Amino acid sequence: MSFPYEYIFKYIIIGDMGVGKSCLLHQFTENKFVPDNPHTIGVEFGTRIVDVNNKKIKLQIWDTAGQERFRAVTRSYYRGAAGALLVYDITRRITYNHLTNWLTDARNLTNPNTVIMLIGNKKDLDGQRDVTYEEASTFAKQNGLIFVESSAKTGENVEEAFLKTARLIFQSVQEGNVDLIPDGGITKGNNVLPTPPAEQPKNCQC
Amino acid sequence: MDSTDNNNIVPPVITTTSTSTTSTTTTATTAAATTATTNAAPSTVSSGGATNDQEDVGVSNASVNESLAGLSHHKQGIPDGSYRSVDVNGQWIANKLKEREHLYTEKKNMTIFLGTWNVNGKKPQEPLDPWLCDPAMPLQPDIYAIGFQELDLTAEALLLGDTTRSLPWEQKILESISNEYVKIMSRQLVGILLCVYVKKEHRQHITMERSDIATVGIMGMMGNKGGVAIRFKFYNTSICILNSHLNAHLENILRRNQDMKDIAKNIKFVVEDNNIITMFDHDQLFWIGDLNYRIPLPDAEVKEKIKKKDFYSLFLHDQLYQQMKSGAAFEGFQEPPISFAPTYKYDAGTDVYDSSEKKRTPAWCDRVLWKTSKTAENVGILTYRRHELLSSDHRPVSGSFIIKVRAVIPEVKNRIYQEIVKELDKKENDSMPDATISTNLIDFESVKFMVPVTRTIVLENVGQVIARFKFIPKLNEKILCKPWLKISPFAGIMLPKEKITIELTVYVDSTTSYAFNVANETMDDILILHLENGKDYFISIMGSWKPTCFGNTLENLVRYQGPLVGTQPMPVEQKKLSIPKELWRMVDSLYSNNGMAEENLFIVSGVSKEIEQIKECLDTGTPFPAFSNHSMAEVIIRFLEALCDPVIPFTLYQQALDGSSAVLSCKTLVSHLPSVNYNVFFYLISFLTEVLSHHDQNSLSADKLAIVFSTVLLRPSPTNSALVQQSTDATIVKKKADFIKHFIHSHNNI
Repeated sequence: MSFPYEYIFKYIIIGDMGVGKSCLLHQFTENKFVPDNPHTIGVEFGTRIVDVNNKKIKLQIWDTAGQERFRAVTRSYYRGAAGALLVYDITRRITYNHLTNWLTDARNLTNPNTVIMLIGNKKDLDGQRDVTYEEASTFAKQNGLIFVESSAKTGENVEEAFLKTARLIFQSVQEGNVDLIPDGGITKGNNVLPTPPAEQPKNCQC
Repeated sequence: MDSTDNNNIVPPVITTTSTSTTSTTTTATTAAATTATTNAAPSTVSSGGATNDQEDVGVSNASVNESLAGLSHHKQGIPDGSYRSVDVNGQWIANKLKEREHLYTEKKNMTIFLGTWNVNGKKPQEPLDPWLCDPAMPLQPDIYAIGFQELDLTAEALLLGDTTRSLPWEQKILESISNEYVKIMSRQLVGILLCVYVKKEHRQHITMERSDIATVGIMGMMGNKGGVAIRFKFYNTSICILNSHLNAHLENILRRNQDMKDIAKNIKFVVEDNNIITMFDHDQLFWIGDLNYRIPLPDAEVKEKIKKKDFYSLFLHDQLYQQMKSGAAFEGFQEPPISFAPTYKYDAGTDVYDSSEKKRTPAWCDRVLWKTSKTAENVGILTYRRHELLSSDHRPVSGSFIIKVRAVIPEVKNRIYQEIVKELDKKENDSMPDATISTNLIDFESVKFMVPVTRTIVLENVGQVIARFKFIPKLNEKILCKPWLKISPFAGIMLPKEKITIELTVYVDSTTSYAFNVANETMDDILILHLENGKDYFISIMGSWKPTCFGNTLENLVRYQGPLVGTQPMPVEQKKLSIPKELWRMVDSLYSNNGMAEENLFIVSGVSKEIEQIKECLDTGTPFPAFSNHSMAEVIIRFLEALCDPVIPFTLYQQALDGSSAVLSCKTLVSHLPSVNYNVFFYLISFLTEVLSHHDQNSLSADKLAIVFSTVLLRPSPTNSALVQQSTDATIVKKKADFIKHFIHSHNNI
């Protein structure tokens, strides 16, 4: 029997409210699509063990609230992420327009080796498309992101998005570009649990 | 679990877990055992001692794993909660994989040939083909296990452990079996030799080859009797073969029985995980050799029956059969039915039974027995024969069997592994604590100075495990929430289905009012409620705050020409009011309302409803309703008391007390006050002097007024709890009052 898993990668999913971040998480971890999912007010958490180059890797995925008012708070969850999935909704241009802000946050708050993947979600609603593939693809190229259009509803490209990111992170680890323990984003072995984003208060209630 | 794909070093672990996983496969065994023994007329009774194959339970390398995980965590601290430990995962996957073995393995029929020959010290002379390549064998066996006894009867072999005699015999074997075979292992104990060969195509599926020897007799030192064992795993089936030579002579039945038990007890193998197993911890155990059991009948009678080929009735007298039937030895072993003449004792080189003086009665000394573990499928009998090689006084014997092995189909195993991992994911995701929260938005609506407002959140554990929750600070913050908010409880534990009510209370006093009254902050916050090992909830807090002169600062108040509600403050650099107009309004209204004459003004408390109305009017600029002078007097006191920084600032508190006995130092201190404070101070002193001038009516004295006003004008910072505690001491109260009294008395002289 080999290790249940050899590495743990921390992912964050970010992007505007309603672009389908939680649906992507559920589709990936449970193969389930829940329509009318309530907005995430906080940070949800899911795990899945995947295979990369015959290594078992556990993905720890933090799905963050997209609302603008929580922006300052969700920033605290970026730290140490090995992968960031930056999601927009192909049927709502506004969510695409906000990518620059999200990307700035992601770049500032994660380390330089963090793999950022751009995901145009709701591919199943091609009829209501508001952002072309080409445009987003160009944006991704300009910013050095990998890009994929997916549908959390049909599951199309969901697996690919998560796995592609994992492969790139793994490659990075193998090439020695990434320390194994930057804030717990990539860890070897088995025992990482979600920990609060900030320090514990000291004997202090308020 | 196939040990061939397991390169990891596995620490010794839990073998008891195998019981539950392997016991599921027992049902088919009995039926198979029946078929295997149908031809055996009086065959041996299988009582079957329970043995489990424990060495191949795929328990993960838990401790290796843990130590790695441990290394990587020195930076991260202790993970909160430990129920998802490494062992649980690894073991769970291993167990599940074992349970589903039938899904990713295919049954293969394999044949094994077991031969035994007591060569009576002879060197090889004739080819072994008649024995090893018997045309009666339907197939070429996949495995050959060939045992010899009395290979070497020389004293050297006995005493010095010389084993050179085995080589010619091994050479002879190779000449007979085709070159499609490779040797797995051979082992010799003096005259006892066991060699095992396998077809080359299966070589890679032979794993964990081990051997051991056991001697019997006095001190176990003389190696002429005893046993040699070889064990290995063939695909996923564990096989043990034991070749033995037990004690001779007709009457030595008990000796032989004891030999058998000693050998069985002493043979041990160290296998995976440093587990030590015995012969009986195998799926298939074969016991071959010159067991030396005899037929206790008169020589003539035996020979007569042999002549008539009445092996059945002869066999009923066979000592081994009798011992097995009574359970005295070889418990649980089986033997194929014997349909051949006794193999001992011949005149070497002839077909004639012992013609020497001793005239030993013919016997079935040379036997092949097997025992299948309860959890494995029984073997199928192919042949059980003797072979006509004449050079020894024994004839060689062979038994061949079909063994069902399970071969792993790697692609399917991998797929099933993936499925199991996925199940684990789901299990793990399900085992995360989950809770629902009654609301993510708490609106305190209108919040007033020093009026607590409480709202509640109900948290319910809707997960399957205990949920521990706590509020945690945001990034780069040290506190859980803004200082005007209290959370109770701020951490706790909930059993599944349990609910907990969390109280959130807003309370703004002079320590926290600055933010709203002066810094113009809005009343909002976001709380993070963290479930250990689970998600975080954000709770938005909001409330509305109307600017008020209570809990304000003098500096700020003099910037408002109009009421605080609805007026913008003047820019800092512009001309300011000399004192807050709210203070002037209150003092002025007391004058107009003949308050100076009110008995015990500032001593008697006001009417709370009126107090609230007056406060409201001060902030909105509306005229005061009808009020009692005591109410207005109390609002003045409350106003001064609520100032974020008192008229004599916190920073000068200690200095004021220290110099309270000396008029001059008090005056010096006051002369250094900021201008607004200075103005307010003398405005109040003039007012108090005026009040005192009506002492005939209001019965007040300088002492009384000084005590009341010093309490609010001269107070310690609330953050300095030591000073706060002292401030009610009589000596301190007196010092504070003294400070004020200097001014009331000498006012006219300033």
